[in-house]
Amino acid sequence: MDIKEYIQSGIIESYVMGLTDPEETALIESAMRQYPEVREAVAAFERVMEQQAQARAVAPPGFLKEKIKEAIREDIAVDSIAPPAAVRDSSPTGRAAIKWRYLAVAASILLALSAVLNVVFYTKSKFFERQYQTMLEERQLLASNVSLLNGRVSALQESLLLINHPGMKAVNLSGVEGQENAYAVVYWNRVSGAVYLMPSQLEKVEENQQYQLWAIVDGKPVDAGLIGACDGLCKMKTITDAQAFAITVEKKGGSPTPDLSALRVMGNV
Amino acid sequence: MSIEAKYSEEELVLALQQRQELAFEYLYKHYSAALYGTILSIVKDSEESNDVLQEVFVRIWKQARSYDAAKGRLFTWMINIARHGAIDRLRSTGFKRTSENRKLTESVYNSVSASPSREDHIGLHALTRELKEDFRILIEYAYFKGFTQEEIANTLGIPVGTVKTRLRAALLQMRKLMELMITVGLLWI
Repeated sequence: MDIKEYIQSGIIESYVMGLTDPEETALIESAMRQYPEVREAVAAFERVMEQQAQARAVAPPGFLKEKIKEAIREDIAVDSIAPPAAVRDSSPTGRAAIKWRYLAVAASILLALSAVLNVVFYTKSKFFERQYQTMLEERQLLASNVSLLNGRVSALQESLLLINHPGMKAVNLSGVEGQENAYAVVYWNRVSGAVYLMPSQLEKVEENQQYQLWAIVDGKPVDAGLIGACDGLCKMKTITDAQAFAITVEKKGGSPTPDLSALRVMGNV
Repeated sequence: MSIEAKYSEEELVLALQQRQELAFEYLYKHYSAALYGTILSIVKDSEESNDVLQEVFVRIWKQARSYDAAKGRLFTWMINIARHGAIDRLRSTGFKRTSENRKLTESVYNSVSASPSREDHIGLHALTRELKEDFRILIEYAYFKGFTQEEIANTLGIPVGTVKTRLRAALLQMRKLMELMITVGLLWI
């Protein structure tokens, strides 16, 4: 018999798992007596089976132990109080248990280590997440500032182009008596009637007030639009004919006729 | 009694054969869960498994003198008693459930299905699902249903010789899986 081949044939596994027929059983049991390798191969697989059974063990319900003990009670030896001589744990079973215990300890250490690392990495990741958020917000702020400035630059560029247009006439509006510091410039295209205003030096007005531009046509004031917040030049209403322009302070939303007592600046074309 | 005995395998066998109470305590503490897991994986019913575990311990206790260390380790002997006890229970309840006018063998074949069921998640049973189907079915019939090789041959309609070779191949593969699982056991439990 080729022992090596016999050992690797699956007979060892069949025997340990109780799946051999009587003939096969008799053969392997005699082989075990004759060949230490066979004996060792059987023992090795027995250990595998035991480890796997112990690993997937299911604890029986607690009440069962006393019930079972009751069932065998009559068979328990009366003189069975003497504990076994040896107290060392050198049985293969004991050794397996110790091995499992070592593995369990190693696993606990690894688990603890991983828990610590989890905390460390979690904290770090939280920190970086916060930093990332801050930077994201800063970036957004910068981006919106840039687009704001871009808007202003293009508005100013446009204003510059308008002012330099050949048909454009600049009308300087100077402060009236008592308002000498006030100053504004109206750019008026006589052909198209387009009116732009550069608010240059107009003081801030109250919340409920607003500056209003008037065109003086044949001695009568004509509404040329309200002055809001604008970048560069403010686009005003179209005026086809005017001899002068004036700005008054009116109530918010403007008035149909100017309050002449609130006149701030004025200039002839 | 709270004395915790520590035995070598030889000492345990001796104490068991002398029917010392401490031997029972030791056996129960160290092996009842492994035996119960094996029984449960076959019987799949905890009530029935309780009964079977009791029968198995009684059998271990009474037949301890027939245990022969030359034929294998005590645990192997016990686990095989547990497996046979569980299969006996499975067959008798299976028979009860389909008690019509059929012959015993017939009803056994029909009542124990070989297809994997929801409960097959315990122990070896879970492992068999990793095998290819014709291997899994052989182990299912042979190990978990306790069919003889002839019975398997009849059921599957293949020659006994084929059953024998294929079963051995299946067991070898199963062993590889078991060893793999034990290596990564800590993750697997």
